[in-house]
Amino acid sequence: MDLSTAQVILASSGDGGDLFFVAALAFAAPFVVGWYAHRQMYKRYRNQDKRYRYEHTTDATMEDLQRWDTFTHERRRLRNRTIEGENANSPEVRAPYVDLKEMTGELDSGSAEENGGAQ
Amino acid sequence: MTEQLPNSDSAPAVGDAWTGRVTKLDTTTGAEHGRDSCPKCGSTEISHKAGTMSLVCAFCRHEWTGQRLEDTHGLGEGISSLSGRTVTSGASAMDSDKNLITMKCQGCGAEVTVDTAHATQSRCHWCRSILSINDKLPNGAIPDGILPFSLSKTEAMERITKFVSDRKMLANPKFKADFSAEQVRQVYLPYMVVDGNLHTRIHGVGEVQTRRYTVQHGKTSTTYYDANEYQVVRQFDLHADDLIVESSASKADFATQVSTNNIINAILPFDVKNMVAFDSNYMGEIQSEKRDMDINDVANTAYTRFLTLARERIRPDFANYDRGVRITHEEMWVRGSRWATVYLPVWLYSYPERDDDGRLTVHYVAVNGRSGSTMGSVPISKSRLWGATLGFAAGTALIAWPIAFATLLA
Repeated sequence: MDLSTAQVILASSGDGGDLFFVAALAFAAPFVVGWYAHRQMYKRYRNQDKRYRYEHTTDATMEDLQRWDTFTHERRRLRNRTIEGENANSPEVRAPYVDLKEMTGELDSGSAEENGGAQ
Repeated sequence: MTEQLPNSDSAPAVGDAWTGRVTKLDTTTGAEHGRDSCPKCGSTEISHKAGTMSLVCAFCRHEWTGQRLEDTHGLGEGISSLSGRTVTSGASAMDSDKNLITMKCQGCGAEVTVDTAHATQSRCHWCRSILSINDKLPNGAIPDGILPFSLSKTEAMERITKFVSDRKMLANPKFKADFSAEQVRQVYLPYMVVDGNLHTRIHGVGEVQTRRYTVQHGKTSTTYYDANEYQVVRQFDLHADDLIVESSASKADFATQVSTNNIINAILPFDVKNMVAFDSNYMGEIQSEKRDMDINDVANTAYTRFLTLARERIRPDFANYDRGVRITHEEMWVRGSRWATVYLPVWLYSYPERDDDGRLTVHYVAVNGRSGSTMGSVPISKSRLWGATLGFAAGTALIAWPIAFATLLA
């Protein structure tokens, strides 16, 4: 149950609604706790989410940073605390559009084969 | 702004047939396969001195250390000037699947065979000399470098035992009964170490909150936010040093529903800056897994990891957008890359488990043979897991449900 649904319930039923809402939460609590405990225990034993955190451990130097920040418009009466689709804090999650190119480098006068052959 | 950005059409996409510049970095030794003797007394009884980077002769106790590839071949230098692919001898494309290599023993003339899929040394059955593979092979069995074990078996057993002991309560009973840390084995696994000269451009939309206000609707209220929206572009060069990528297909599959390869992946990184030129004497009788992936097979993985690395590096730069940034486009140009291969030391405890559907999962508990970092997958008993889940749920119900009834009756 999200916050807005809860607000609708409260709005529609007044004081009685408050009590009903608390009772509903208390009834649901064991199921939520059970689900969460199951998930956490399985995770602790199987560690399926663990991986090499290369983005934190690989040495990398950043140079020639250029920034463009262009104001587009003002948005009003937004309901969410954060921008919709926020993904800048999840660097391992790819953006909708990804373009990954490998530059060929400056080829010498000979062919790639003379440089050691195409890999 | 657009004129300053690289043209996307000027570079081929990763995965296309690679026809660009390849610069070879020679890491061959020129040595013949066969006897690899102590430089002081000529004995072939050479082994790795535990806990060090040294080799030691069993006869005269002479000690020496292999040369660091960073020093001899400048790996780690000049990343900003990399162009095309720079490929060491050990990372060259495999053009042979022949694993059995026959060597002539220089001691007695006998022919001795080594199965390079798992080992790089063999003892001559006639004169007892140890014969080694002393230079690169076209089948990918010999890497450029090796990082010797610095963690002893006792230390590895302690770490594995602790890891499993902390998870015994819900573990599969058969696993608990069978578990013996003594069964841990040493293995050298093949990896590629990649440097990248990269150019990245990130596009997105960012929002800065300008106002927060609450509106009353009868007895309830709603909080609203106003925000300024910006088009955000960041463009930068990135010079990445020593990204590690799996180069064994069986260990590069991270479909975690059927394999626990992510466990071995999770004990990375290793201090690859310290890798020394490959010498079979570091391996001795320790088993290895042969590289079976070429650069073309792992390039996409490596470059995608570079992209993630770039995203992580630029992340703090979005701090002013207090409502966050939605990245819409990621672009990366790999201007140049440098590839080397290495054997990395892993202590591995494995346990095969067949589930009710007959599906086999091999669980690993792995220990980084250098840092001691430990990770594992412990088979879990479904009945115990559900029992514990029920216990948590019932405990909560004991507290929550009386409250619920009391509230309804009030």
